[in-house]
Amino acid sequence: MNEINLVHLYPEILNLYADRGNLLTLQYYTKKMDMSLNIKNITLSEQFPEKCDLIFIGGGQDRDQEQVSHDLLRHKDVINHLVNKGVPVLAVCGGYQLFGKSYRTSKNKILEGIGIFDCVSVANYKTKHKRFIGDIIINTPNEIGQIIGFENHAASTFLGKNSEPFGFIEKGFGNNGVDKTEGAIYKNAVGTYLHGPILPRNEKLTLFLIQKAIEQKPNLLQKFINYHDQNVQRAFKSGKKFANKKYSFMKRVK
Amino acid sequence: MSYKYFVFFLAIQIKNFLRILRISGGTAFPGLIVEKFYPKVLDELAINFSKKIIVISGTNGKTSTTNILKNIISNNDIDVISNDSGSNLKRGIISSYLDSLNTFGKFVKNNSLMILEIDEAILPEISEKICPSTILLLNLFRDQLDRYGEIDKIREKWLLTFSNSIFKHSQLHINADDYLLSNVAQNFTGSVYYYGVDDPLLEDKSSDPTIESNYCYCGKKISHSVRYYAHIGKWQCDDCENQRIIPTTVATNIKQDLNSVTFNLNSENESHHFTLSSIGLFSVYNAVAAFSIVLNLGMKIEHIVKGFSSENNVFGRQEAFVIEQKRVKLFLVKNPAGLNQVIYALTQKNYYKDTLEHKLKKINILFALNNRTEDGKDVSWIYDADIERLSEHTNALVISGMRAEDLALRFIMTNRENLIIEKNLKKSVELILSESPPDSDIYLLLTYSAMMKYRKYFAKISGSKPFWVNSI
Ligand SMILES: [Zn+2]
Repeated sequence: MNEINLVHLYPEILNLYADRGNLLTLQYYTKKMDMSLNIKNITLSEQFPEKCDLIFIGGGQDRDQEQVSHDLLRHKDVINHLVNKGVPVLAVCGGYQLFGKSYRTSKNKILEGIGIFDCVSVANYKTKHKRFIGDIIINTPNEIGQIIGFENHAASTFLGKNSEPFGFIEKGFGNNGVDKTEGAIYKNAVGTYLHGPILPRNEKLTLFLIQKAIEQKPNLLQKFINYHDQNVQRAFKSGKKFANKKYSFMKRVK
Repeated sequence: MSYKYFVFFLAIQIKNFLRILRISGGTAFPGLIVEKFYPKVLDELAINFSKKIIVISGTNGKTSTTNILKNIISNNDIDVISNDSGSNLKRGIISSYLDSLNTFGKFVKNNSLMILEIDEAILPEISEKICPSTILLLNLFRDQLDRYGEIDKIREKWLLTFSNSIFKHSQLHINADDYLLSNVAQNFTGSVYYYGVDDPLLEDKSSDPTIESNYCYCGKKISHSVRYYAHIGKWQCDDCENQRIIPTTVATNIKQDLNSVTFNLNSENESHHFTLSSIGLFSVYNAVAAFSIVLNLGMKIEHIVKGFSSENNVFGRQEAFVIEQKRVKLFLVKNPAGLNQVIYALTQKNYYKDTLEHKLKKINILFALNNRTEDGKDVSWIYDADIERLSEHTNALVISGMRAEDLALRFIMTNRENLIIEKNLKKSVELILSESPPDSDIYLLLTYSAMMKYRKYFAKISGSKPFWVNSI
């Protein structure tokens, strides 16, 4: 069975921001490696599936997050166990916040997270009515290298001692617009504010997630190909050029 | 000459000058000058057009609906002033007000009606200032999140503004099929008129992967007994009493093909058959919205028909050109809901039979994606549109625009291999013309700033007038 089992959490609720593109990309690359991506959608009150090599969770508006946060706590132990075992995670925006310790919404409601990342997120922290919006470039300290994307969030995230930032800001705001960090990484779990969606243009991150997922299945190890797609690299270059231009970069806006 | 009249005089001179030069897109500039040097202009507008202002807002269809409405009303011998140049921010509104003044800045259009399309985000502020006699709310879709933040914020602002009693003598016309607007209607202090569509055969049974989660303001889920597209349809809350109000102006029996759409318009005891030479259910919604207003202005359906059949009516005004015996049509696309509507209209199932014809009927697409401020800086929305379906039905495909690489990647992620990237406008047109079979249809999908450029270019090569010339 040349299959990678991806668990997609709350796809019909946390789908605000085109992050479906991330799944398309994983599908595209696994196909190139002659494997298939088996996507299992998990919604409210469903059981966490037994087979899980990779986890994806997207973002939503505050009320969407409120709706899932309590339900997600049911899976806290199993997800923590999987992540500690090395199962890769891509948690974007709202999903990133809920994979942290807590998120305080714009209406001051505190949502408890599952604590994969040692971080807390606060909506409109000292930035009343403002959002972090614009193109963003970050540098990760590992083999993933440089990543481009688009951010759009009202919350600020602050990392604790036990989480490393996913990357460091070259352009943009990142976690909080102050400390130059973006996202969080713990083992093979990546939390990030980057949309775009993030994976289509960032091949190295896609390959990282697939490789770590494959490492969960020793019989598939020889399947991994360090596949390079020209179209992706071209889009990365073009995107980076736009992000670097001053006029294409937006300040915090009302 | 007082200060005010000097500012008006100056702005009007500039406006006339731009008009002579036919500078498109420059029409809001005179408004910007007045906004800056005489900010009280909106108070003046409100007094001079008291009880004679119609405002139109919503994510999709503002310009088309404004044009339809303007056409019907002016064909009934009422002078109309509007911001149809597409500038729907404050400066564009002020600029259109200049049309009601004489050269020296004196108000002279006592018998005119003002029709304004207004950007969703500034609608509350403007409405409070000018207190429109009629407000039309079309729909709310995810659009340009980079500018506004979430659409919830817009809903909250609309609700707050339109529950104010200053609107108690105003009319609100509202799309009954968009549950996101229901709360505004319920709390409106004036009179409310619902319009909508009633046609169970139109149900979109595909599980649209990009459909938003739908919540009532009570926090519970919204369900649809019939869903036409995106979140538009016959809806009700799972928990509370909130549900679609049966509209008084309603389109039924809708039939579409690649060139036109027909429907019955029903209002009170009247019913009338209409044909629009544009495509898609969204065109029907725009027309019914306009009809709801004119019917409640006291016009009869015959008056609408009069507007309909007049020579330069907007209903017949398609952005179509014929070049090398190929029919070229231009579509503005700016968000997933709008793009999906165009895709579904171009790829209707009943149009493509599983025969040899299937291949011949495949369409040819030139898609140009820009991301200037007016297009939206963020291009991620292309991942929320049904590009899979578009790709499947497309024969020749040319990708252009500033963000061509991103758009091409979107198609490649659907495993499409056969596509051409050409950023140069002229070459991209040459390519789509040469790649398309003889006697075929070519559709251009264009974001706002790309539309401006391609439209101008096609007007040039086809020898017809670009149509904004009429509207400056
Ligand atoms: Zn309800």
